[in-house]
Amino acid sequence: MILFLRLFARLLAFVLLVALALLGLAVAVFSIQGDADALSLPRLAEHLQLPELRSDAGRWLDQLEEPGPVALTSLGGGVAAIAAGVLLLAGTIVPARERLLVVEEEEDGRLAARRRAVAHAARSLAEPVRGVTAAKVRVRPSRRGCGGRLAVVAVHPRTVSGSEVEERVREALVPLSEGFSLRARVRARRGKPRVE
Amino acid sequence: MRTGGTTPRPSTRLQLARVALDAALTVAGVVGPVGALESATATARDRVPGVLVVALNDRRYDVSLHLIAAVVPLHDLADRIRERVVRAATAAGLARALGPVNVVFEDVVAGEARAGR
Repeated sequence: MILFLRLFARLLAFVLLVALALLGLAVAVFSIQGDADALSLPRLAEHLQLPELRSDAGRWLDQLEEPGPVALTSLGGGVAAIAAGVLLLAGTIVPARERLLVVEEEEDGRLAARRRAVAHAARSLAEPVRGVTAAKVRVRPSRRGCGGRLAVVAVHPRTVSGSEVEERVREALVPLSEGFSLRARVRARRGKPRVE
Repeated sequence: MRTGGTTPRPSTRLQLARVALDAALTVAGVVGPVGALESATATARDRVPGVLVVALNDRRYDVSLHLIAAVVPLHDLADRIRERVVRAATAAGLARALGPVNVVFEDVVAGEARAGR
């Protein structure tokens, strides 16, 4: 979500900057002549239909002062604009970097790993276990301090008992869960029969 | 003032980055550094990927290695990397500049365990 917001905020900033640059260029070009000549600012305003826009905006603001559907629409628009602003601010301010799984924090340094790295390690330990056909792993680093949680779903065929698979996978994960201070939760799930 | 085309001596920060990365790459189980720009030590001329060296307020430098590892026990691997970095920094005369050595495993890849040099 934050990645998408960051991307959107950057894209919007780029588009706005390009628009601003083009507008600045147009103003500079149309400042060459004065009065109402071809390259004058009044002529630029005419090209951009600014007088019509002013009268339209004036009419709309008059309607806005009275209770009615336009007022409600504008209220909705205002709320939506505030929400969009908050989301854009979040996309600009909130860091996109994911939380690291901190394993050890001492004076001589810190040992940490990305969730993806630990998930790959857990999967490589769980998948070769007898009776497991696939493993899905999710790692959640602790918000404070070291360690975190490791959730593993081990898929098995119906010929193998789920509790046995859970036990074997849990054993296979011990080196990782102990080394990384992870609380492992293993769940066995029977795989869907494949029709070939 | 021009110095007649001589190459300027690399900064302590850059030297530490190079020494730390070279040392880490010699450890068996380390596949390589990550290439991300935010995990690199860069100057106008040079860039050392996968290692971030930040000055501390006691004239030492905090070294963070961002590495891709093979499927090996990561805790032991981190200890071996740290030990190798400290040894290499000492051999290069940078022991006093070396502060905490952080190891971050960015990814683990199967089947690419590389023999240490």
